[in-house]
Amino acid sequence: MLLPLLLQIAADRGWGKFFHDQMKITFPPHAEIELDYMPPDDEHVWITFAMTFGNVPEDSLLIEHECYAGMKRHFDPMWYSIGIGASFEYPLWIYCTRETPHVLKMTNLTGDYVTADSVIWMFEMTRSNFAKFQEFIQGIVDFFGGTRELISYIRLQLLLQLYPEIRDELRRALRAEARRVLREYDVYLRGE
Amino acid sequence: MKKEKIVVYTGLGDVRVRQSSHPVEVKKQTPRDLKKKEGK
Repeated sequence: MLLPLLLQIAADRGWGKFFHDQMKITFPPHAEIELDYMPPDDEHVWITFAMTFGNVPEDSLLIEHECYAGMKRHFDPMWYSIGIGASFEYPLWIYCTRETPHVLKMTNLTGDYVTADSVIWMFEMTRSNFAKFQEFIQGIVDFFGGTRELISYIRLQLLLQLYPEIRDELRRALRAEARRVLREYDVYLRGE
Repeated sequence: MKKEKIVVYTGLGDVRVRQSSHPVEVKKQTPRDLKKKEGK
């Protein structure tokens, strides 16, 4: 899972912090519950990126999250045996606020009492830092997902292979542009 | 016969129940409180 690495970058920039929360639910036989999980104030956004369960007997609980516009079966990144199999793997990545809570549905599939001792792993940001983070994520999407830019890059490489003598000229021309983009992210080249 | 409750112990986050098959009791407790109760 690469997504939490983006959060590490956000943490390094001081936009927020990692933490985890605990939630313990005791189910009578065949009980079902659907609940909203959210931060206690309007000021913060929590990105929930993992949820792990301790001491839950296998196949005793059906756990689903509302994620990517639909209820998805829980995939535990740290305990593979929960759930049916690899086809249900998906990264948990929910922007959790009081207006858009993390929706969880849990069903006790057994005739016994079950206690779900869960830990929710998340990253907390203020709303203003979250806006910066979204911009940053969009930048990554544009960089890696922008087909036009990718083609431009391939063309540039071809051009350099055909005419290696223009390399220095291009470097000079592009350096100013690269410097401008880097400055937007508070990165300065050596000697500035 | 009285229907048994689902008991939700929450920590830092808030919980709002959308629907449930049984009555729900939400108890706000920090992990530290839970440990104290278990005598750890």
